[in-house]
Amino acid sequence: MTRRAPAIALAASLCLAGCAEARLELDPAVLPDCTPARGAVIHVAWDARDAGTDRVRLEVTRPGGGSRPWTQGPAAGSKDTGPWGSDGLTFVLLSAEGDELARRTVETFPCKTPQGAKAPSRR
Amino acid sequence: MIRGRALPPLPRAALVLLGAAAFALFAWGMDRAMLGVAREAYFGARPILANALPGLLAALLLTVLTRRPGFSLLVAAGVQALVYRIGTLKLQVLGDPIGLQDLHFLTHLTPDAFSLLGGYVESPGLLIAAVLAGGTVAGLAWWVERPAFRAFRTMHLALAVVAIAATWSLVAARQPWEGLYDKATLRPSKFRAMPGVLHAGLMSSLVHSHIQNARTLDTLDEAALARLLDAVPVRTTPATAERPDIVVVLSESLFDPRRMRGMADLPDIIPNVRAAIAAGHGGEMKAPAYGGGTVRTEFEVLTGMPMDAFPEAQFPYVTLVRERIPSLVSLVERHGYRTLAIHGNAGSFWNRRNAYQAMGFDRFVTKDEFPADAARDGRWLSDAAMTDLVLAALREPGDQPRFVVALSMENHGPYRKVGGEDAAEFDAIQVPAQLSEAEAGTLRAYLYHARHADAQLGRLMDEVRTRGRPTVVLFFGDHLPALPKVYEKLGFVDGRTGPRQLVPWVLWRSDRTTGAAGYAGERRAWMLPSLLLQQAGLRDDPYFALAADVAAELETAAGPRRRVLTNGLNAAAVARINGSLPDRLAAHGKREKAP
Repeated sequence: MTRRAPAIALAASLCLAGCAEARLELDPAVLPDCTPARGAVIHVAWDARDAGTDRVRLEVTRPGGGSRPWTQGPAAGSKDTGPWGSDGLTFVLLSAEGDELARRTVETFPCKTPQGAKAPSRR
Repeated sequence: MIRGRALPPLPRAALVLLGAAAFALFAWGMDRAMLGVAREAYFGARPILANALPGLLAALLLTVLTRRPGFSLLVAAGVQALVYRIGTLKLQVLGDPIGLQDLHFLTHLTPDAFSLLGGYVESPGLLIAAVLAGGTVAGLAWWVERPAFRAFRTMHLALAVVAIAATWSLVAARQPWEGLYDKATLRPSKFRAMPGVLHAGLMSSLVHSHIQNARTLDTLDEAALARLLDAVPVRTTPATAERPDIVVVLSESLFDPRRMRGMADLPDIIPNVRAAIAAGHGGEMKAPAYGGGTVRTEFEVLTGMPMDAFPEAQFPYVTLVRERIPSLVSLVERHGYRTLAIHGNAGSFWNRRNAYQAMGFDRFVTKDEFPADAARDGRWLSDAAMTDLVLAALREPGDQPRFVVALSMENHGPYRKVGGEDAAEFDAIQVPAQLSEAEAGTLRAYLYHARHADAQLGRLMDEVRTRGRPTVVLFFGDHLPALPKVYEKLGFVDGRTGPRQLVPWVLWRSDRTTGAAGYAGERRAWMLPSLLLQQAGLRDDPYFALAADVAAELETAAGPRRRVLTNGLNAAAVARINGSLPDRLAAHGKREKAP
């Protein structure tokens, strides 16, 4: 149980109504903030079969920036990014009609954590 | 409608706490939506509470005034929503989150500020309707809610004391705010506001910036300054007897359109600038601003101090204004110059009037002092009208040399045809065919005014050439215009992004046919005043001499040497503005070190 677990549980419960139908997972979802400047490869997996769509699109966006298309494919699948995953990079899962199904953001934790503190776990 | 009966104290307190929690979650949701990140990104009790506290404090102050906590929370939520809406618009237009400097507008709302900012509102009717609806809801909430406590009794006084103490400690950047908004939580970047906003929310980032601003002039890197003074000479020379007139023109949003793909084969928009640079009278430079933020480039050119020296001061005239700001103005005044600034907008904009007073300008001519018949072109006063005033100032009788700074306005955004332009000339401007109609219209509006800026440089040089007195002219673009959709469609010739593009500068002396040596290559805006002073024969100021030496060394320095130079100059700039530089130079025996 990490220190952030209660907060994540609260977020998850807040999200229940809107997020139950589609799954979007990032691995890793949390990076050390001393990741080399180019960024990390992120494995992105999604499953929107329960959301009533056959095909999905994924877009990426940086904080405050516009969305750009990244990939598209069947309702369930996975794909690796290039080495450009970094803090704040956000993936948006969309149905074929363009409705947003899920949204996930890459976070970072400080490399120099205070003594005794643990880095957040992967989600 | 029936006004509700007052609840007993405990349920009421619970309701207020619930309202405060809802406010905090609401603000966090707005924050994440503004950034476009997932709602759970950096979700946690501390970031959410810290982000909500400024709004909750505002609600507390309002509660003290009205004794209606529900009404106060509702108004605070409305204002918070408005802040995030403006933040979203700013991100879309400028690619930058709201900064502390933007709050300057809230305390200096003038008809000119409304006019300029109103130009960016695409649906004014919708905005007015939203404001009216919000006002109506707030009015109803006021009417429905009964006062929660008696006036001037224990509860009222206790809340007043807490609210005033919290506000005072926030304004003074004291604890507990300093501890709550620390670097470990925000992990801010020295160069960009976005990381701090992402990690802890916009409001937390603003409070952190405010606390850092309060500390800006106290955080001098003594070791970096000492290393620089050990490494670089400070070569001052006595000023020459001849004191040429000096004209500095900041050309709003001017850049070379041929930096964009598809522009090379179209008629040249800036032939005068291009010819001057080709003849060795100028080059290109990196401006410390993009899409807006004129004052950052303006500050670097007028003071020779890099904005990197003040990473928390995004807009220097809001943050760094003190009683005196050492600058080109104070330097030339020591040499007997008469100094004048001209700007076709309100003097209060970006706090310029106070900043110019601190720099020491004799006179500041703003929009209201322009002649009543001064020409407008499009939305703003024309560059031709501004040049008229510059030339008139040079013609004024008197033996004193002149130092004139003119900030153009004609090519300020938003870039739309508004009427008042020369329709035939406007429609004849060619743009690349792949642009949509809307994008073409935007680019055409920009190019139309950029062409005028260049033409006025040509006119200024022609007129100055015929004068009996030598005159030095420094002309430069302050940043790229905010044309995000055009850049996205066309791209840049060098493949770099918009913020990495350069802007042109011209430095020309009327009695010399050749440019000074070493003009080739990329410059920074803070390097221009040293070059200007060199052309004018005024190299007796130790700071500008130091900046000139650093600039010269940076052309070849790399690695650790480069860091010594840049970090050292940043430290010197902090020492310069907080007044301790002369003593530090003297301590190093470099007050008047000759070459």
